[in-house]
Order: sequence, then C-alpha cells, then structure tokens
Amino acid sequence: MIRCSFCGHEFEESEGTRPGCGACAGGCHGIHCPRCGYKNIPEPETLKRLKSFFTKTTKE
Amino acid sequence: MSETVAQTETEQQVRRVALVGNPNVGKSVLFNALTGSYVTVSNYPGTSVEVSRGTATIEGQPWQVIDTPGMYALHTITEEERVAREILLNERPDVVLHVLDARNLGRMLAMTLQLIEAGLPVVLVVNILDEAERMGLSFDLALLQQRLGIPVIGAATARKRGIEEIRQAVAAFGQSCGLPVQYSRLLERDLAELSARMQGRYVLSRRSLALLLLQGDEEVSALVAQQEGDGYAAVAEQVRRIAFERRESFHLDLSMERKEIVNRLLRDVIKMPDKRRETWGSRLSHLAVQPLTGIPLLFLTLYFGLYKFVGSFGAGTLVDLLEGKLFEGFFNPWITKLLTNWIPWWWLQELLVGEYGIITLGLRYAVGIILPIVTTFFIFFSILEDGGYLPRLALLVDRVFKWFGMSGRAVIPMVLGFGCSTMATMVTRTLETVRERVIATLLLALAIPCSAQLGVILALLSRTPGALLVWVGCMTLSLVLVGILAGKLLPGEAPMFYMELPPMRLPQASNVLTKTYTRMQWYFLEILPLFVLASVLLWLGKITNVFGTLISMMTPLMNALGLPRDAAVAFIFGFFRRDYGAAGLYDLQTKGLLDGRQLTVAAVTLTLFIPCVAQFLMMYKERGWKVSLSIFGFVSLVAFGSGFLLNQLLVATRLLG
Repeated sequence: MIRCSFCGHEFEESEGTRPGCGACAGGCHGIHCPRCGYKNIPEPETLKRLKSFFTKTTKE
Repeated sequence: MSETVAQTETEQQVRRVALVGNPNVGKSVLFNALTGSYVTVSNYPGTSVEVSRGTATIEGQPWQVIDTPGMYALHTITEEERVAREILLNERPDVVLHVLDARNLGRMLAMTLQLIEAGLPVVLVVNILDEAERMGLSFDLALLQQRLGIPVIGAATARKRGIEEIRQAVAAFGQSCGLPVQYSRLLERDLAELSARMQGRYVLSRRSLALLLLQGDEEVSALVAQQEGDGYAAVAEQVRRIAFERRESFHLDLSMERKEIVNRLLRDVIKMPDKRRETWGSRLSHLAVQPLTGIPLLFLTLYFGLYKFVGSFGAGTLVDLLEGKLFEGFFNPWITKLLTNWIPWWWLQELLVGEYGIITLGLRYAVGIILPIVTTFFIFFSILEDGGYLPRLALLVDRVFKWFGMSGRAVIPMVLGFGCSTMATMVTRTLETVRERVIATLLLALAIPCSAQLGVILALLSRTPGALLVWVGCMTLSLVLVGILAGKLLPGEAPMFYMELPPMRLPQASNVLTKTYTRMQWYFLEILPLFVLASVLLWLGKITNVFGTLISMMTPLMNALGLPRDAAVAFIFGFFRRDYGAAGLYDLQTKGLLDGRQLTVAAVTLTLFIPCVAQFLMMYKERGWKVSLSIFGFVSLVAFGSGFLLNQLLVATRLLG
C-alpha cells in the first residue's frame, strides 16, 4: 500500500504502475498516483526484500 | 474423499472478519497488524480490483481477515465500492470491522448507520485517535457504544494502540446488530411498505435493501428481481410510486435525515476544545495557503532551499570540490596522461580523453557537475514532499493559474517539470480539460527548467551580480505573459480545483534519505549512458567535421544574440538533454569565454529554448503533431526573440558589463 506524497491518496502499488512516459531509461521506475498522477517513489527493493523475509505475500 | 470433507470442515471453522471503511482511514495498517505472516493479494473475480486476505489467530481461534477496498456508502458508485459490497454480500463475514477516522467522525458515521441497518455484525473502530486528540478533541466512546448498540473501540493503529482491544472485540462478538435507526415518519412508512412486499431471502436486511432500491441502485434491483421472481413487479411499482412522490429530493432528504441522526448520536460524544488547539502543522498549513503569508513563505523556501542550498552549496561548493579539484585538478590530467601513453591511436585517445571525451567530458559532466546539483535538489525536493508542502503550493498558486486558464491541479506537472519535463508532459494528461493540458504542455516546454539545468544556471548566475535577478525576471515575465496569452486565446473555462489536504508533518530523515537515494540512483543510471552517448556523438561530429559545420550554421544566430561562436555548442548539447546544455554553459564560463551580459543572455535563451528530444517526442505522443510542432516553433521563436531583445537591452543600458 502506497500513500501518495502529493494528495495523500492510498492505493495499491499495482494500481499506480503504468507504461510510463518513456523518458526514463529502462522503463518507468516511479508509481503514479491513480488520483492525481503524481510520481511516487516506491519502496527500495532491498527494504522490500527485508520485509518479505518476515511477511510472505502470495500474488494470485 | 475424507480429506475433502475434513478440509471443508476446517474451512467452515475458520471465521471471517472484513475490514470496511472510507479510503485513507488506516484499514491496511490494521490488516497488517491483525494478520500473520501469510498474505494473499488477488483480483476480485471479474474485476481488476485487488483484495488482500490474510490469516490471524484471535484468542486461539483461526480467522480469515479480508481487507476490502475503500467505500463511502452501501449505495455504490465506483468499482472498488461494488467489490467491497460484494464481499459483504457474498462472503458473509462473521464480523465487520468498520474503521473510521476520529477526526471526521461526523462525516463517516453515516456509513456505520447503513451497516447497522443492513443487519451486519458491526464493530466500530474509531481510528487515528492520536491525531484527533492532538487537535484537542476528546471522545466519550462508551456513550457512543451505548447509543449505537455495537462495540466501539478507540484506536491509533499506526501507533499499535487499540489492536489488542480490537482482537478481543472480534473474538467476543456475538450477533448483536445494533440499535435500530429511526427515520422520519414519512420515510419509515415508505420503508415499511416496501419491505413488506419483499419475500425473498437476503443477506442484507429488507429495510436496507428498500433504501437502496429507493436510491436507484441497479445491482440491488437486479438482486431483488431475481429473489422475488413474479413478486418483483409489485416491488418495482412501489419504488416507482415513491420515487414519483419524492421527485428529485429523495437522496437529499435521506442524507439530511442521516446527518440529523448522526448529530444526535454524537451529542456529548465529541468534546471540542474551548479554543481550537492548533498544532504547529495546522498553523503552518494555514500560513502556507494564505496569499499574504504563503507567498513570502514560498520565497523564503525558494531562497534558502534553491538559491542557498542547491545553488550556493550544491552547484558552488560541491561542484568546485568535485569538478574543480577532483576532476580538473587531479583525475583528468592523470587519466589523460595515462591513456595517452598507453593508447597509440589518436582517434581513440580523442574518444576517451579528448575535448569531448567520454571520460574527460561525459564523466566529468555527469559526476563532477550534475551529480552534486541533483543530489542537493533532490534532498530539498524530498523535504518539501515529505513535509506535505506541495499540495499547499497547489492551493496557493490556484488563483495565479486561473489567469493562465488552468487550475491549481496543474501545479503537479509544473512541479514535476523541475525534475524532468518529459515525465511532467505525460502527467498533464491528468488535467481535466484539453485546454489545460495544452497550456501546461506549452509552459513546461517554455519556462520550466529541469533540476540540473536550474542548479547549474543558479550557480553560474549567482557569480555575476544582478544576472540572477535579470534571469528570474525574464523567466517570470515569459511565464506570465505566455500563460495569460494562452489563457485568453484558447477558448474555455478554467475548471474548479479542490483537494483534500493531507496533514503537514515534520519531514522524516529516513524518508528524505530513501527518496533522495532512489531518485539519485534512477537519475544517475539514466544520465550516465546518455552522457557517454552524447560524448561519442560529439566526438564523431568532431572527427567528421559535422559538428564544426553545425556550429558554423548556428554562428549567425549566436552573433545576433551577441554570443561567441562557441556558445552554439551549449545549444547543441541542450537539444540532447537540457542539463547537458547547462553543463556546457558552465564549461564556457569557467574557460572565460562569456562575460556577465553574454552569460545572462545565453542562460535566458537556453532556459526558454526548445525542449530536449525526449520531451519533444512526448509532446507529440500526448498532443499530436499539430500541437507539438506549433509549440516547438513558438518556443524557439520566443527563446531566440527574448535572447535578442535582452541582449539589445543590456547593450543599450550597459547593465551587466
């Protein structure tokens, strides 16, 4: 769950993942808020890995 | 077979608790606090809405916990709300935890009433109590529990407060469905008549279904039609009759009645402070959105954040250290000597350590000049972002943006433009009208420099007294004039702008560092290959003399601007990337090729100059050929026209040497 840094809207990471503008090499890294479009910074992978070590999330 | 039976029995023993409530009330935090180590996230069947499920052991019993999407009422509008209601209808949770925000108890309690009258087993969680108490509010939740007839628990789930009480309430919860909600005599009569006509078996109470039918809920109508069969015609006729009698006023009447009931319920439950207690955050928030205090505050923020921190410290001290001392003083001479001795081929020497060499130019620009500037800019930006200043800025500039035919919402792409105008051009699609999108795209292409370009220009101009003031004046004038002109010429009205302001808070060091680190990582990984590529292209241009021809072609233009021939290099760089162009300007100045006047003219023209290739392609993608080519032509004309006029003015007045 991500809280938009601009408007405070809470949304799932998957809701904010879009094809991106194409300006960033290697694709869009940010997560755009579905309500206001603001580009949010996702949690760094290392932190995510550390968290998933304690919580196992299954995506179906 | 016996295994299947055992499995079914196990599934039956697992009880369900569903979390419901408005978005942003802390449902997910509570979900994470309740669930164990295994969480499943899946799309709800037939939709793209994700629902999280986890398991929890509460008082020794296994429970399945379901985190439903945000919903505002049982009468649904969005797909998320429909999914949340479907879960309540189809999965029949044993306990429904209605989570609401203590600061907005009055607004959110209406949904509790709907859940109670639907006959659902509701436990009310009054969350975010800590923030509410900080505002000076106090609550008599025991009184509210008595009035509602359901368990009411105060919590601050983000602080782990109330979690144990919620667990106990879930475990101990019986089938008490709350005290009945009493509406006006007229509405009660309608509900009684309509409910009496329904004979089917339903999860929600008939009274609740009757209300939803009267609100014109199509899904509920279909459900009732299916359950009632032939009897549905009479139900539908009754709904039509009541709707005809009430005309358009039913929704309004119902919300007014619910509001009145909520007001009665909350009498003596919430105690307001005698004098509204303002936190430093709300005080600062108030100051930030009022023009009288907000504009000076904005200038202070820009002065200390951009000018002093990014401009003086980042682009001055840090660049001097990295570019001046490390690269120019030590690394470049050392690597040039080393490779010249080791590599016999002049063309390869030129490619690596020549005038436009990958190491001596590309790496030096990327690491020595751009990196310290964007790092300080990203720290400044992350502090503003984490503190919650950006939405206040949107409200503050709303009035100014109205002159440009846009609303304060356009501040989002404008702010993002200081990071990267290409991405900001894409974000203009979130603006409500085509007119707003075109104006925002134009202003982004014209007068919004990217962070690195801004940093370098601030650093360059702050060395010449008065130059920065002239640059800021030119940029503001261009933005305002072109904005007003666009607002007048493009037909249409500026849309209304309203947004819920998230609270202001002290920026957290961990958040600021994480955001800065991530942004720097993206930026650096992105620019380094591009800078290397640009160096290769420039090297190719140099050895084939194409670059020289290009510079010769631009020489008359440079002359018209009063700039030396070599300044064309910065403009060519700028078309690759804006920051690369600014770094080129930095190079020219450090070599002593530009005086104060020329530097100012070059900086103004380059900032207003056409966007980089990526931004131009994005303009085409978002707005089409016609608009993007028109913007391209217009921006080039304004940039060189302004540069020409500024040069004439500075020569005539002998300002800036």
